[in-house]
Amino acid sequence: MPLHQGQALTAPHDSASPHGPADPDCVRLRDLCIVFGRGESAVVAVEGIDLTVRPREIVSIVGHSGCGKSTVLRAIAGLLPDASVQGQLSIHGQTPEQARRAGLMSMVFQEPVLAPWRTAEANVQLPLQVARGQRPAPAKTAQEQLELVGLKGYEKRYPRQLSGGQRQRVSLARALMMQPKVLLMDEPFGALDEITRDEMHTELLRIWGTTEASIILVTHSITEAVFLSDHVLVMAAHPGRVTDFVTVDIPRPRRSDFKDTSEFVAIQHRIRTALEAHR
Amino acid sequence: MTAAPMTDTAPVRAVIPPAARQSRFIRLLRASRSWLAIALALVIWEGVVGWADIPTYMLPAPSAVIDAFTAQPQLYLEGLWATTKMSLLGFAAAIVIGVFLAVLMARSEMFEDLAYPFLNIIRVMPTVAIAPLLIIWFGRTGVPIIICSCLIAIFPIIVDVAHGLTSVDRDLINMMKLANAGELSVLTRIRIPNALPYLFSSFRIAAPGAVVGALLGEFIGSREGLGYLITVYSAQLNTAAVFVLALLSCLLGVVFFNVCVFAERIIVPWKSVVR
Repeated sequence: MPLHQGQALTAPHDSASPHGPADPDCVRLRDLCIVFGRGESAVVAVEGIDLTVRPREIVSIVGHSGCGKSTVLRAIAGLLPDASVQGQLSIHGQTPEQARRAGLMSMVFQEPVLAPWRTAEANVQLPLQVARGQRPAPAKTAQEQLELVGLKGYEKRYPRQLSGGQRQRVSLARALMMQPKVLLMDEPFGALDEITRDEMHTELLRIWGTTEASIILVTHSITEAVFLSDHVLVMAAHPGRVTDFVTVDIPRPRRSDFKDTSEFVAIQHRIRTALEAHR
Repeated sequence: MTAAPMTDTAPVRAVIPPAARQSRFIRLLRASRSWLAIALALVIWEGVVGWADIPTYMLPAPSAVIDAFTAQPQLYLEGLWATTKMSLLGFAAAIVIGVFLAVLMARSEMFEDLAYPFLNIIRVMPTVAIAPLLIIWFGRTGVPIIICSCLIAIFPIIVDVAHGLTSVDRDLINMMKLANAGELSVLTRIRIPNALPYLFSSFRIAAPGAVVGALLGEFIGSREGLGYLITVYSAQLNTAAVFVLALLSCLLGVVFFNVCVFAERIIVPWKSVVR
Protein backbone atom coordinates (compact mmCIF):
# COMPACT_ATOMS: atom_id res chain seq x y z
CA MET A 1 0.00 0.00 0.00
CA PRO A 2 1.53 3.30 -1.05
CA LEU A 3 2.10 5.79 1.70
CA HIS A 4 0.92 9.34 1.27
CA GLN A 5 2.20 11.94 3.61
CA GLY A 6 -0.44 13.23 5.95
CA GLN A 7 -3.26 12.02 3.73
CA ALA A 8 -6.63 11.79 5.38
CA LEU A 9 -8.52 8.56 5.23
CA THR A 10 -11.97 9.47 4.03
CA ALA A 11 -14.77 7.18 5.02
CA PRO A 12 -15.61 5.29 1.81
CA HIS A 13 -19.08 4.13 2.78
CA ASP A 14 -20.54 7.38 4.00
CA SER A 15 -18.43 10.42 3.30
CA ALA A 16 -21.43 12.74 3.52
CA SER A 17 -21.59 12.69 7.30
CA PRO A 18 -18.16 12.10 8.72
CA HIS A 19 -19.33 13.15 12.18
CA GLY A 20 -22.47 11.06 12.20
CA PRO A 21 -23.03 7.62 13.63
CA ALA A 22 -22.46 6.10 10.17
CA ASP A 23 -18.73 6.69 10.73
CA PRO A 24 -18.03 5.24 14.14
CA ASP A 25 -14.29 5.77 13.89
CA CYS A 26 -13.19 8.89 15.60
CA VAL A 27 -9.43 8.68 15.25
CA ARG A 28 -7.85 6.27 12.80
CA LEU A 29 -4.14 5.62 12.28
CA ARG A 30 -3.00 3.27 9.51
CA ASP A 31 0.66 2.36 9.03
CA LEU A 32 1.72 5.53 10.81
CA CYS A 33 5.48 6.09 10.60
CA ILE A 34 7.32 9.10 11.96
CA VAL A 35 10.83 9.88 10.72
CA PHE A 36 12.88 12.84 11.89
CA GLY A 37 15.75 14.20 9.81
CA ARG A 38 16.89 12.94 6.44
CA GLY A 39 19.70 10.90 4.93
CA GLU A 40 22.21 9.38 7.32
CA SER A 41 21.04 11.36 10.31
CA ALA A 42 17.42 10.24 9.91
CA VAL A 43 15.81 8.71 13.00
CA VAL A 44 12.80 6.44 12.75
CA ALA A 45 10.81 7.42 15.83
CA VAL A 46 7.73 5.33 15.17
CA GLU A 47 7.03 2.60 12.62
CA GLY A 48 3.77 1.03 11.52
CA ILE A 49 1.23 2.06 14.13
CA ASP A 50 -2.38 1.03 13.57
CA LEU A 51 -5.00 2.35 15.94
CA THR A 52 -8.70 3.00 15.86
CA VAL A 53 -10.44 5.01 18.51
CA ARG A 54 -14.22 5.11 18.50
CA PRO A 55 -16.35 7.94 19.87
CA ARG A 56 -16.40 8.15 23.66
CA GLU A 57 -13.64 5.62 24.08
CA ILE A 58 -10.59 6.00 26.24
CA VAL A 59 -7.45 4.51 24.74
CA SER A 60 -4.11 4.55 26.53
CA ILE A 61 -0.67 4.25 25.02
CA VAL A 62 1.92 2.81 27.41
CA GLY A 63 5.58 2.06 26.89
CA HIS A 64 9.06 2.72 28.17
CA SER A 65 10.30 6.27 27.87
CA GLY A 66 11.66 6.96 24.42
CA CYS A 67 9.30 4.52 22.67
CA GLY A 68 7.64 7.34 20.76
CA LYS A 69 4.29 7.33 22.55
CA SER A 70 4.26 11.09 23.01
CA THR A 71 5.40 11.51 19.41
CA VAL A 72 2.34 9.57 18.21
CA LEU A 73 0.13 11.87 20.28
CA ARG A 74 1.81 14.94 18.82
CA ALA A 75 1.33 13.55 15.30
CA ILE A 76 -2.40 13.17 15.97
CA ALA A 77 -2.46 16.74 17.30
CA GLY A 78 -0.79 17.93 14.10
CA LEU A 79 2.12 19.42 16.04
CA LEU A 80 4.83 17.62 14.03
CA PRO A 81 6.22 18.92 10.72
CA ASP A 82 4.24 17.43 7.82
CA ALA A 83 7.35 15.95 6.22
CA SER A 84 8.05 13.71 9.21
CA VAL A 85 4.65 11.98 9.27
CA GLN A 86 3.96 9.11 6.88
CA GLY A 87 0.94 6.85 6.56
CA GLN A 88 -2.68 7.65 7.12
CA LEU A 89 -4.02 9.63 9.98
CA SER A 90 -7.57 10.86 10.24
CA ILE A 91 -9.64 12.55 12.90
CA HIS A 92 -13.34 12.42 12.10
CA GLY A 93 -12.34 11.91 8.47
CA GLN A 94 -10.08 14.97 8.45
CA THR A 95 -6.36 15.57 8.51
CA PRO A 96 -4.90 16.74 11.83
CA GLU A 97 -4.48 20.22 10.33
CA GLN A 98 -8.16 20.41 9.33
CA ALA A 99 -9.27 18.92 12.63
CA ARG A 100 -7.26 21.52 14.46
CA ARG A 101 -8.84 24.34 12.46
CA ALA A 102 -12.26 22.90 13.19
CA GLY A 103 -11.44 22.79 16.89
CA LEU A 104 -12.01 19.05 17.25
CA MET A 105 -9.03 18.42 19.51
CA SER A 106 -7.52 19.78 22.64
CA MET A 107 -4.61 18.66 24.71
CA VAL A 108 -3.51 18.34 28.33
CA PHE A 109 0.23 18.19 28.93
CA GLN A 110 2.36 16.75 31.69
CA GLU A 111 2.87 20.23 33.08
CA PRO A 112 -0.24 22.39 33.48
CA VAL A 113 1.36 25.14 31.29
CA LEU A 114 -0.92 27.88 32.61
CA ALA A 115 -0.20 31.54 31.93
CA PRO A 116 1.04 32.83 35.33
CA TRP A 117 -0.34 36.31 34.65
CA ARG A 118 -3.90 35.06 34.24
CA THR A 119 -6.32 33.92 36.92
CA ALA A 120 -7.69 30.37 36.79
CA GLU A 121 -10.82 31.67 35.10
CA ALA A 122 -8.91 33.75 32.56
CA ASN A 123 -6.69 30.78 31.77
CA VAL A 124 -9.74 28.64 31.06
CA GLN A 125 -11.16 31.35 28.79
CA LEU A 126 -7.93 31.77 26.82
CA PRO A 127 -8.58 29.15 24.05
CA LEU A 128 -11.95 30.67 23.20
CA GLN A 129 -10.52 34.19 23.15
CA VAL A 130 -7.91 33.28 20.56
CA ALA A 131 -9.75 30.71 18.41
CA ARG A 132 -10.22 31.83 14.83
CA GLY A 133 -13.16 30.84 12.68
CA GLN A 134 -16.66 29.77 13.50
CA ARG A 135 -17.11 27.90 16.75
CA PRO A 136 -20.25 26.64 18.40
CA ALA A 137 -21.15 28.72 21.44
CA PRO A 138 -19.51 27.22 24.53
CA ALA A 139 -21.84 24.93 26.43
CA LYS A 140 -20.41 26.07 29.73
CA THR A 141 -18.89 29.28 30.98
CA ALA A 142 -15.37 29.18 32.34
CA GLN A 143 -16.85 29.38 35.82
CA GLU A 144 -19.06 26.34 35.23
CA GLN A 145 -16.14 24.50 33.69
CA LEU A 146 -14.05 25.16 36.79
CA GLU A 147 -16.93 24.00 38.96
CA LEU A 148 -17.05 20.76 36.94
CA VAL A 149 -13.41 20.05 37.68
CA GLY A 150 -13.99 20.78 41.37
CA LEU A 151 -12.51 24.26 41.60
CA LYS A 152 -15.58 26.29 42.55
CA GLY A 153 -14.44 29.35 44.46
CA TYR A 154 -10.94 29.31 42.96
CA GLU A 155 -11.79 31.35 39.83
CA LYS A 156 -9.82 34.42 40.85
CA ARG A 157 -6.74 32.57 42.07
CA TYR A 158 -3.50 32.84 40.13
CA PRO A 159 -1.65 29.62 39.19
CA ARG A 160 1.00 30.27 41.85
CA GLN A 161 -1.75 30.23 44.48
CA LEU A 162 -2.91 26.74 43.47
CA SER A 163 -1.46 23.31 44.27
CA GLY A 164 -0.04 21.05 41.55
CA GLY A 165 -3.24 18.99 41.39
CA GLN A 166 -5.42 22.10 41.24
CA ARG A 167 -3.32 23.54 38.43
CA GLN A 168 -3.74 20.35 36.43
CA ARG A 169 -7.50 20.60 37.02
CA VAL A 170 -7.43 24.14 35.57
CA SER A 171 -5.51 22.77 32.61
CA LEU A 172 -8.20 20.10 32.12
CA ALA A 173 -10.96 22.72 32.37
CA ARG A 174 -9.16 24.79 29.74
CA ALA A 175 -8.97 21.78 27.41
CA LEU A 176 -12.68 21.05 27.89
CA MET A 177 -13.61 24.66 27.14
CA MET A 178 -12.97 23.84 23.46
CA GLN A 179 -15.63 21.09 23.63
CA PRO A 180 -13.22 18.70 21.94
CA LYS A 181 -14.27 15.54 20.16
CA VAL A 182 -10.82 14.16 20.93
CA LEU A 183 -8.99 14.94 24.14
CA LEU A 184 -5.28 14.20 23.93
CA MET A 185 -3.49 13.74 27.23
CA ASP A 186 0.29 13.49 27.45
CA GLU A 187 1.17 11.97 30.84
CA PRO A 188 -1.27 14.38 32.45
CA PHE A 189 -0.80 13.08 35.98
CA GLY A 190 2.90 12.28 35.69
CA ALA A 191 3.98 15.27 37.76
CA LEU A 192 1.51 14.60 40.59
CA ASP A 193 2.06 12.61 43.77
CA GLU A 194 0.44 9.19 43.98
CA ILE A 195 -2.43 10.14 46.30
CA THR A 196 -3.44 13.11 44.14
CA ARG A 197 -3.02 10.99 41.04
CA ASP A 198 -5.42 8.28 42.31
CA GLU A 199 -7.92 10.99 43.09
CA MET A 200 -7.53 12.50 39.61
CA HIS A 201 -8.24 9.10 37.98
CA THR A 202 -11.77 8.91 39.39
CA GLU A 203 -12.20 12.63 38.80
CA LEU A 204 -11.22 12.29 35.15
CA LEU A 205 -13.76 9.49 34.63
CA ARG A 206 -16.48 11.57 36.30
CA ILE A 207 -15.68 14.64 34.19
CA TRP A 208 -15.33 12.60 30.99
CA GLY A 209 -18.82 11.19 31.70
CA THR A 210 -20.26 14.67 31.21
CA THR A 211 -18.55 15.24 27.83
CA GLU A 212 -18.71 13.69 24.38
CA ALA A 213 -14.98 13.34 24.02
CA SER A 214 -12.81 10.38 23.20
CA ILE A 215 -9.57 10.36 25.13
CA ILE A 216 -6.16 9.26 23.95
CA LEU A 217 -3.92 9.08 26.98
CA VAL A 218 -0.18 8.62 26.98
CA THR A 219 1.12 7.30 30.28
CA HIS A 220 3.90 5.28 31.84
CA SER A 221 1.66 4.06 34.63
CA ILE A 222 0.16 0.64 33.91
CA THR A 223 -2.37 1.08 36.73
CA GLU A 224 -3.54 4.37 35.25
CA ALA A 225 -3.86 2.86 31.77
CA VAL A 226 -5.90 -0.16 32.90
CA PHE A 227 -8.12 1.76 35.27
CA LEU A 228 -9.10 4.45 32.77
CA SER A 229 -9.08 2.77 29.38
CA ASP A 230 -11.23 0.70 27.08
CA HIS A 231 -8.08 -0.34 25.20
CA VAL A 232 -4.41 -0.19 25.99
CA LEU A 233 -1.81 0.05 23.23
CA VAL A 234 1.55 -1.27 24.40
CA MET A 235 4.60 0.10 22.59
CA ALA A 236 8.27 -0.84 22.43
CA ALA A 237 11.20 1.33 21.36
CA HIS A 238 13.85 1.33 18.56
CA PRO A 239 11.84 1.86 16.48
CA GLY A 240 8.61 2.73 18.26
CA ARG A 241 6.13 -0.02 17.44
CA VAL A 242 3.06 -1.75 18.83
CA THR A 243 3.73 -4.97 20.74
CA ASP A 244 0.32 -5.63 22.25
CA PHE A 245 -3.22 -4.30 22.16
CA VAL A 246 -5.19 -5.10 25.30
CA THR A 247 -8.92 -4.60 25.70
CA VAL A 248 -10.12 -3.82 29.20
CA ASP A 249 -13.60 -5.31 29.06
CA ILE A 250 -14.84 -4.01 32.39
CA PRO A 251 -18.13 -2.10 32.44
CA ARG A 252 -18.29 1.50 33.55
CA PRO A 253 -18.72 3.29 35.87
CA ARG A 254 -15.53 2.05 37.46
CA ARG A 255 -14.71 2.83 41.05
CA SER A 256 -11.33 3.00 42.64
CA ASP A 257 -11.77 -0.44 44.28
CA PHE A 258 -11.64 -1.87 40.75
CA LYS A 259 -7.89 -1.50 41.14
CA ASP A 260 -7.97 -4.27 43.78
CA THR A 261 -9.85 -6.90 41.73
CA SER A 262 -8.21 -10.01 40.26
CA GLU A 263 -9.29 -9.02 36.71
CA PHE A 264 -7.45 -5.76 37.11
CA VAL A 265 -4.31 -7.52 38.31
CA ALA A 266 -4.51 -10.02 35.42
CA ILE A 267 -4.69 -7.25 32.81
CA GLN A 268 -1.86 -5.37 34.52
CA HIS A 269 0.20 -8.57 34.41
CA ARG A 270 -0.39 -9.01 30.69
CA ILE A 271 0.74 -5.48 29.94
CA ARG A 272 3.80 -5.79 32.17
CA THR A 273 4.73 -9.02 30.39
CA ALA A 274 4.42 -7.31 27.01
CA LEU A 275 6.59 -4.43 28.23
CA GLU A 276 9.27 -6.73 29.62
CA ALA A 277 9.36 -8.96 26.53
CA HIS A 278 10.44 -6.05 24.33
CA ARG A 279 12.88 -4.05 26.37
CA MET B 1 8.84 0.62 72.80
CA THR B 2 5.48 0.40 71.09
CA ALA B 3 2.99 3.21 70.83
CA ALA B 4 1.12 3.60 74.12
CA PRO B 5 -2.67 3.90 74.08
CA MET B 6 -3.80 7.51 74.07
CA THR B 7 -5.78 7.14 77.28
CA ASP B 8 -2.88 6.15 79.52
CA THR B 9 -0.82 9.30 79.35
CA ALA B 10 -1.64 12.94 78.94
CA PRO B 11 -1.04 14.09 75.33
CA VAL B 12 2.26 15.81 74.74
CA ARG B 13 1.87 19.55 74.29
CA ALA B 14 4.26 21.60 72.24
CA VAL B 15 6.02 24.40 74.10
CA ILE B 16 5.25 27.82 72.66
CA PRO B 17 8.39 29.97 72.81
CA PRO B 18 7.78 33.18 74.77
CA ALA B 19 7.57 36.41 72.83
CA ALA B 20 10.91 38.16 72.69
CA ARG B 21 10.52 41.89 72.08
CA GLN B 22 13.53 43.95 71.25
CA SER B 23 13.70 47.37 72.80
CA ARG B 24 12.48 50.25 70.65
CA PHE B 25 15.94 51.74 70.51
CA ILE B 26 17.46 48.56 69.04
CA ARG B 27 14.69 48.29 66.47
CA LEU B 28 15.08 51.93 65.46
CA LEU B 29 18.81 51.44 65.13
CA ARG B 30 18.29 48.36 62.98
CA ALA B 31 15.83 50.13 60.68
CA SER B 32 18.05 53.13 60.14
CA ARG B 33 21.42 51.38 60.00
CA SER B 34 22.14 52.13 56.32
CA TRP B 35 21.39 55.85 56.89
CA LEU B 36 23.55 55.85 59.99
CA ALA B 37 26.42 54.41 57.97
CA ILE B 38 26.12 57.26 55.46
CA ALA B 39 25.92 59.86 58.25
CA LEU B 40 28.98 58.38 59.92
CA ALA B 41 30.92 58.51 56.64
CA LEU B 42 30.00 62.20 56.23
CA VAL B 43 31.15 62.99 59.76
CA ILE B 44 34.50 61.24 59.17
CA TRP B 45 34.86 63.06 55.84
CA GLU B 46 34.19 66.45 57.46
CA GLY B 47 36.63 65.63 60.27
CA VAL B 48 39.43 64.42 57.99
CA VAL B 49 39.17 67.49 55.70
CA GLY B 50 39.27 69.85 58.71
CA TRP B 51 42.06 67.99 60.54
CA ALA B 52 44.35 67.55 57.50
CA ASP B 53 43.52 71.05 56.22
CA ILE B 54 42.80 69.87 52.66
CA PRO B 55 42.11 72.82 50.34
CA THR B 56 38.50 73.04 49.07
CA TYR B 57 39.49 72.81 45.38
CA MET B 58 41.06 69.39 46.14
CA LEU B 59 38.34 67.91 48.32
CA PRO B 60 35.51 70.03 49.70
CA ALA B 61 34.08 69.07 53.10
CA PRO B 62 30.38 68.11 53.20
CA SER B 63 29.60 71.47 54.77
CA ALA B 64 31.26 73.26 51.83
CA VAL B 65 29.19 71.18 49.39
CA ILE B 66 25.99 72.13 51.22
CA ASP B 67 27.05 75.78 51.18
CA ALA B 68 27.68 75.60 47.43
CA PHE B 69 24.18 74.22 46.89
CA THR B 70 22.38 76.75 49.11
CA ALA B 71 24.25 79.61 47.45
CA GLN B 72 22.37 79.13 44.15
CA PRO B 73 19.83 76.28 44.43
CA GLN B 74 17.80 77.66 41.51
CA LEU B 75 20.67 77.02 39.07
CA TYR B 76 21.26 73.46 40.19
CA LEU B 77 17.59 72.49 40.25
CA GLU B 78 17.08 73.89 36.73
CA GLY B 79 20.03 71.80 35.58
CA LEU B 80 18.56 68.77 37.32
CA TRP B 81 15.21 69.33 35.62
CA ALA B 82 16.84 69.67 32.16
CA THR B 83 18.75 66.43 32.63
CA THR B 84 15.65 64.65 33.95
CA LYS B 85 13.70 65.65 30.83
CA MET B 86 16.46 64.44 28.49
CA SER B 87 16.86 61.16 30.40
CA LEU B 88 13.12 60.50 30.32
CA LEU B 89 12.92 61.18 26.59
CA GLY B 90 15.97 59.00 25.91
CA PHE B 91 14.60 56.22 28.10
CA ALA B 92 11.18 56.39 26.43
CA ALA B 93 12.79 56.25 22.97
CA ALA B 94 14.89 53.27 24.09
CA ILE B 95 11.78 51.41 25.30
CA VAL B 96 9.79 52.03 22.12
CA ILE B 97 12.60 51.28 19.66
CA GLY B 98 14.09 48.48 21.79
CA VAL B 99 10.81 46.59 22.20
CA PHE B 100 10.04 47.00 18.50
CA LEU B 101 13.44 45.62 17.46
CA ALA B 102 13.18 42.82 20.04
CA VAL B 103 9.80 41.74 18.63
CA LEU B 104 11.25 41.67 15.11
CA MET B 105 14.29 39.71 16.29
CA ALA B 106 12.16 37.22 18.21
CA ARG B 107 9.86 36.75 15.22
CA SER B 108 12.50 36.25 12.54
CA GLU B 109 15.80 34.49 12.88
CA MET B 110 16.96 36.12 9.65
CA PHE B 111 16.34 39.60 11.02
CA GLU B 112 18.21 38.67 14.19
CA ASP B 113 21.22 37.42 12.19
CA LEU B 114 21.23 40.54 10.01
CA ALA B 115 20.69 43.04 12.83
CA TYR B 116 23.09 41.70 15.46
CA PRO B 117 26.35 42.77 13.75
CA PHE B 118 25.09 46.35 13.40
CA LEU B 119 23.83 46.43 16.96
CA ASN B 120 27.14 45.09 18.20
CA ILE B 121 29.09 47.74 16.27
CA ILE B 122 26.97 50.50 17.79
CA ARG B 123 27.27 48.80 21.17
CA VAL B 124 31.04 48.62 21.29
CA MET B 125 31.62 52.02 19.71
CA PRO B 126 32.19 54.40 22.65
CA THR B 127 29.32 56.85 23.07
CA VAL B 128 31.99 59.50 23.75
CA ALA B 129 33.12 59.02 20.14
CA ILE B 130 29.63 59.10 18.68
CA ALA B 131 28.46 62.18 20.62
CA PRO B 132 30.61 64.80 18.76
CA LEU B 133 29.38 63.31 15.49
CA LEU B 134 25.77 63.63 16.64
CA ILE B 135 26.42 67.28 17.51
CA ILE B 136 27.78 67.89 14.00
CA TRP B 137 24.63 66.34 12.55
CA PHE B 138 21.97 67.76 14.84
CA GLY B 139 23.64 70.87 16.31
CA ARG B 140 23.55 71.91 19.94
CA THR B 141 19.95 70.86 20.43
CA GLY B 142 18.41 68.25 22.67
CA VAL B 143 18.50 65.59 19.95
CA PRO B 144 22.12 64.39 20.39
CA ILE B 145 21.55 64.17 24.15
CA ILE B 146 18.41 62.08 23.71
CA ILE B 147 20.23 59.82 21.23
CA CYS B 148 23.16 59.32 23.64
CA SER B 149 20.75 58.46 26.43
CA CYS B 150 18.80 56.09 24.18
CA LEU B 151 21.97 54.39 22.91
CA ILE B 152 23.08 53.39 26.38
CA ALA B 153 19.62 52.35 27.57
CA ILE B 154 18.51 50.39 24.50
CA PHE B 155 20.82 47.37 24.56
CA PRO B 156 19.72 45.72 27.79
CA ILE B 157 16.12 46.27 26.67
CA ILE B 158 16.62 44.60 23.27
CA VAL B 159 18.54 41.64 24.67
CA ASP B 160 16.25 40.92 27.63
CA VAL B 161 12.96 41.46 25.82
CA ALA B 162 14.03 39.26 22.88
CA HIS B 163 14.97 36.61 25.43
CA GLY B 164 11.62 36.98 27.22
CA LEU B 165 9.64 36.74 23.98
CA THR B 166 11.34 33.49 22.98
CA SER B 167 11.60 31.74 26.34
CA VAL B 168 7.94 30.73 26.38
CA ASP B 169 6.89 27.24 27.36
CA ARG B 170 6.67 25.21 24.14
CA ASP B 171 3.54 23.41 25.28
CA LEU B 172 1.78 26.70 25.98
CA ILE B 173 2.39 27.59 22.33
CA ASN B 174 1.19 24.09 21.34
CA MET B 175 -1.97 24.66 23.36
CA MET B 176 -2.52 27.89 21.42
CA LYS B 177 -1.97 26.06 18.11
CA LEU B 178 -4.57 23.46 19.03
CA ALA B 179 -6.97 26.28 19.83
CA ASN B 180 -6.28 27.50 16.27
CA ALA B 181 -4.81 30.79 17.50
CA GLY B 182 -3.12 33.17 15.07
CA GLU B 183 0.46 34.41 15.32
CA LEU B 184 -0.77 37.79 16.53
CA SER B 185 -2.73 36.23 19.39
CA VAL B 186 0.31 34.21 20.42
CA LEU B 187 2.37 37.41 20.43
CA THR B 188 -0.06 39.59 22.33
CA ARG B 189 -1.50 37.05 24.74
CA ILE B 190 1.50 34.83 25.45
CA ARG B 191 4.84 36.22 24.30
CA ILE B 192 4.47 39.84 25.37
CA PRO B 193 3.07 39.11 28.87
CA ASN B 194 5.83 36.52 29.25
CA ALA B 195 8.44 39.14 28.32
CA LEU B 196 7.20 41.76 30.82
CA PRO B 197 9.28 40.55 33.79
CA TYR B 198 12.32 40.52 31.47
CA LEU B 199 11.52 44.07 30.36
CA PHE B 200 11.47 45.25 33.96
CA SER B 201 14.69 43.53 34.85
CA SER B 202 16.30 45.22 31.86
CA PHE B 203 15.04 48.55 33.25
CA ARG B 204 17.23 48.09 36.30
CA ILE B 205 20.23 48.51 34.00
CA ALA B 206 18.64 50.66 31.31
CA ALA B 207 17.08 53.38 33.51
CA PRO B 208 20.29 54.50 35.27
CA GLY B 209 21.99 54.02 31.88
CA ALA B 210 19.61 56.55 30.33
CA VAL B 211 20.69 59.10 32.97
CA VAL B 212 24.38 58.41 32.33
CA GLY B 213 23.81 58.78 28.57
CA ALA B 214 22.02 62.10 28.98
CA LEU B 215 24.82 63.42 31.24
CA LEU B 216 27.38 62.34 28.68
CA GLY B 217 25.53 64.08 25.86
CA GLU B 218 25.28 67.28 27.90
CA PHE B 219 28.95 66.99 28.82
CA ILE B 220 29.97 67.09 25.18
CA GLY B 221 27.55 69.52 23.64
CA SER B 222 24.86 71.43 25.51
CA ARG B 223 24.10 74.73 27.20
CA GLU B 224 22.04 73.33 30.04
CA GLY B 225 21.73 70.32 32.29
CA LEU B 226 23.91 68.79 35.00
CA GLY B 227 26.48 67.51 32.49
CA TYR B 228 26.99 70.98 31.04
CA LEU B 229 27.31 72.58 34.49
CA ILE B 230 29.95 70.00 35.45
CA THR B 231 32.12 71.10 32.50
CA VAL B 232 31.69 74.77 33.48
CA TYR B 233 32.53 74.37 37.18
CA SER B 234 35.36 71.89 36.74
CA ALA B 235 36.99 74.40 34.35
CA GLN B 236 36.69 76.98 37.14
CA LEU B 237 38.12 74.52 39.70
CA ASN B 238 34.89 75.02 41.69
CA THR B 239 35.12 71.55 43.16
CA ALA B 240 32.33 72.05 45.69
CA ALA B 241 29.88 72.84 42.86
CA VAL B 242 31.09 69.78 40.92
CA PHE B 243 30.34 67.67 43.99
CA VAL B 244 26.82 69.13 44.18
CA LEU B 245 26.26 68.27 40.53
CA ALA B 246 27.69 64.76 40.89
CA LEU B 247 25.44 64.11 43.90
CA LEU B 248 22.38 65.36 42.02
CA SER B 249 23.27 63.05 39.12
CA CYS B 250 23.49 60.11 41.57
CA LEU B 251 20.14 61.10 43.02
CA LEU B 252 18.56 61.13 39.57
CA GLY B 253 19.94 57.67 38.70
CA VAL B 254 18.79 56.23 42.04
CA VAL B 255 15.29 57.69 41.60
CA PHE B 256 15.04 56.25 38.07
CA PHE B 257 16.12 52.85 39.35
CA ASN B 258 13.69 52.81 42.25
CA VAL B 259 10.73 54.01 40.21
CA CYS B 260 11.34 51.06 37.85
CA VAL B 261 11.59 48.60 40.74
CA PHE B 262 8.36 49.99 42.19
CA ALA B 263 6.57 49.77 38.81
CA GLU B 264 7.80 46.20 38.44
CA ARG B 265 6.15 45.17 41.71
CA ILE B 266 2.84 46.66 40.59
CA ILE B 267 2.80 45.53 36.97
CA VAL B 268 4.31 42.02 37.17
CA PRO B 269 3.17 40.67 40.54
CA TRP B 270 3.29 37.06 39.24
CA LYS B 271 7.06 37.16 38.95
CA SER B 272 8.28 34.78 41.62
CA VAL B 273 11.17 35.88 43.75
CA VAL B 274 13.33 33.20 45.29
CA ARG B 275 16.04 34.15 47.74
